[in-house]
Amino acid sequence: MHNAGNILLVSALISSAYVVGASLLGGIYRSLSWLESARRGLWTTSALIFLASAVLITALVTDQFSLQYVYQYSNSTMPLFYKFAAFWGGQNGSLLFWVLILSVYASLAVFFYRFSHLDLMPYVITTLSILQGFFLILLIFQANPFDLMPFTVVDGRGLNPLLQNYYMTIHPPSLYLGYVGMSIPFAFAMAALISGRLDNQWVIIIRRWTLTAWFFLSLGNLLGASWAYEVLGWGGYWAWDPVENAAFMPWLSASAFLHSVIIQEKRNMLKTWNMALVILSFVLTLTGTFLTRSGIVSSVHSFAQSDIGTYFLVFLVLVVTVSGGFLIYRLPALKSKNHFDSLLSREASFLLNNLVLVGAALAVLWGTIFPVISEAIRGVKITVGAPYFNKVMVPIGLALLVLTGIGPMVPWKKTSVEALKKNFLWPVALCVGTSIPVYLWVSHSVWVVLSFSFCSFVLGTIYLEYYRGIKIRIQNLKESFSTALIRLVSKNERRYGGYIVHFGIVLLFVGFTGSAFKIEKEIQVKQSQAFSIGDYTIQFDNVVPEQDPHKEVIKAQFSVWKHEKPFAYMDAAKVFYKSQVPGEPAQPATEASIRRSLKEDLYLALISFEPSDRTIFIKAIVNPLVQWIWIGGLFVMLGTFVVIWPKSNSLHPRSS
Amino acid sequence: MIKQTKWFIGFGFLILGILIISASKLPQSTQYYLTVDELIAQKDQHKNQVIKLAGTVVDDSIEKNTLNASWTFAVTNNHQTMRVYFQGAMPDTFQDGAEVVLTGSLKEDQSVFIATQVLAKCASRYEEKLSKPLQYQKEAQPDA
Amino acid sequence: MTTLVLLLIMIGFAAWVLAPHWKKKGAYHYIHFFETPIVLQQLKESKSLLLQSLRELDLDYETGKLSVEDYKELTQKTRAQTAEVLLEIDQEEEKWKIFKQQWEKHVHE
Repeated sequence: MHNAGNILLVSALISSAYVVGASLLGGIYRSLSWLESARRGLWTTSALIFLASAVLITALVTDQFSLQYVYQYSNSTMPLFYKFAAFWGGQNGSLLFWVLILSVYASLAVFFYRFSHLDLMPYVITTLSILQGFFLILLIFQANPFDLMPFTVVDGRGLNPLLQNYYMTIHPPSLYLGYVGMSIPFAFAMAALISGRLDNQWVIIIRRWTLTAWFFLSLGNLLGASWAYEVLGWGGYWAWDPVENAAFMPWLSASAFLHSVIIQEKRNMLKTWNMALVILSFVLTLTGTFLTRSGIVSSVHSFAQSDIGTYFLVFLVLVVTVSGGFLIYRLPALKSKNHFDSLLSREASFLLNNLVLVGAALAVLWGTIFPVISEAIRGVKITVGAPYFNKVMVPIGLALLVLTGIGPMVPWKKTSVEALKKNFLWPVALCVGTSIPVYLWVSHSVWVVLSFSFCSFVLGTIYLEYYRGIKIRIQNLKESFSTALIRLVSKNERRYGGYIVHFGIVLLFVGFTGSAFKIEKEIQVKQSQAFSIGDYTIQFDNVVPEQDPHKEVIKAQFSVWKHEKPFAYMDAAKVFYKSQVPGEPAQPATEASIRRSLKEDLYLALISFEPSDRTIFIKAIVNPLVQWIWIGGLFVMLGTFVVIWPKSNSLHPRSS
Repeated sequence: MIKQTKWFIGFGFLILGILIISASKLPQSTQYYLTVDELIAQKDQHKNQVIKLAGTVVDDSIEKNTLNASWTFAVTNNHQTMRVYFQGAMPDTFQDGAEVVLTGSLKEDQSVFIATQVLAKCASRYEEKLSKPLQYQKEAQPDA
Repeated sequence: MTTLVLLLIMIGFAAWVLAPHWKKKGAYHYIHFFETPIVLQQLKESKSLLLQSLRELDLDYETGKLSVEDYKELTQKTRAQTAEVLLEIDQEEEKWKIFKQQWEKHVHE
């Protein structure tokens, strides 16, 4: 296993080095044989990486504890499911998983465009191969998953119990698919810069790739939030942890790109800006990885400190220098002939949305790296807590929310007062109409009032867009309502799919705003004692122990009343995962019990149990509107799906 | 017709504005991050200040008071140690030898650190042990 | 044993990767042969984008998001572009047909 894995990694590195050379020759001499050879070389590198991954997975599944990695992250009693997931459970394996996904993306891209974009493809291959090569160097010299144990052991330590959850099998892969997915747009951007083909070709190609990456980033972040909510036992879903920020920043900049690319397609403007955004998104994924893997920023889910930080830093500097250099070199060619006509135009409002999104990404970056800067400059170690992010991101988020409503409703080029009235009268009325009752009966907080009012404003604009679009189709084409709706979306899938995403975002904001009304209690109760929180009265009935070969469970049972009426029975558990290494204590994990409803969630987490006097320490939370976050997330996914879905050209009348 | 550059200058100020706002929010949300040795050396400077304290839990130092669910334990960085008092929800990963990051403060004329939040990390402990194979061989069954 | 298998796999890959260099020059000289479909494909992409733009312009106009003058100006521009692209597509398709005939002749000979 050790030898096979290393041979595969080293030969993959050799192959990727060859491909870098071959693709460059193919590009410079416009040689088809070099290009074909480079293409096959990239597939070979990818196949070797695939084989190396297969070796590591086999080692994990067949309990080869002679490998350090297997020893550290797996053990013989773990279900097959988690043995497999241990592939990305530790740092070294996750890096291999990373380059595996990169290889899948790269192979697909090279396959899809094997007969087209011959002027771009050589440099696309070069860029992707350099990336593969970098990760392979990292794997071989710094984070080798095939390292042997220095001594013999009979069993492994097992995956961290916090990770032994079904989310472990879907959250990391989805996040990585999003993260790594940003390399394909970056590769095409670099190819456009190197080759000088700066027309809209590369932008059209990468739109769908960026959407795919964005889809997985959104999904990954949502799954992570949901995981944290269910398992970590603190009752929240987002903690502004550096690892979360690392995934959030590229999401923000990719969102910006997905909007500004429309301006480039329609008005041929913002070419430099778009190029910069693609590079920024990719650099942010690298920065995020660098920050969290190097150990220079402490994080709850960071891996142990290691030296791979230096490698990442060097590579990061290289990427920024090379891509920035090319961007500056090509600046004259990227100049646009068109210009903005008015502040009240769709172009301007999209640019505004872009700047706010990028500003948000930079604000998050600033908070994330500030401890590093402070230590480097002042020699003082400090931490930046969630309050900073909440203070800064709430206003930025609300600005984005209101722009979500304004952007699509403003005309291209310029606006007349008449058009403004026609498009905004009702949404603004709705917005004001919401703010008053919210202020009077729900909350006096400015942020809450603004958030709910903006939400209704955006909902109003989305409704208006659908209503008008359908009405026109019914009037002009005499279609029925349902046909009109389906055709409206399927013929303008980018716009109306986009509105579905916006609808999801509004629901997300509703959910986020709910956190302003959170009630939280940490309380100690004896058996058959009751306590109350919000509308609920909760009685601690009993503690039941359960046991199986690899874990012990302590389950606390509760009867819950709502408004004095019986409401539910709930069990909050503490699970102790046994270590297979002799002499090592079992590792506890919390399994919270959540009673979900659209209005609010009741959340119970068992903190500790004292057998001597049968008391428990329990955390109870009433979490209003949290479910809207997951529902909103579903709409975001659905909308993205509508936008990505390949469109059959048969809808167009054939005109020739 | 306005030139595009003017637009960018205008919008550039907007980004700058966002950054300045975020920079100005920073001081209120930052906390010093100190090791036990650093805290003891600069006791006076950080008195009554909410800070983050990093250290390792001293073996066999954990005492739990079940009456009010409070804990006392000691943390160290191999040189000096500090007693810690904490009342509240202990994370699952808290145990002897765990690396912890405590949020709290050192009250005037007291030698006990009052923590309001405990974060415990276990992962790095794994890696550490690997580099001490001797200790390991004892624990592992001798079938080699 | 594993090492041997791996070695064989490597040799296989290496041969496959390097093969394009040993192929007769002629085999890779059909670059012009598939440059035509590339151009065609790009033209068709721009066509579908332009058509989509036209549809969106209509929709924007009908939902009151464009003034009459802007609508007319933008539609006219887009229509002209579309017509150009359609013409080019026809020309390319013609060229492509001739190429194909020549190629088939070449293959049969």
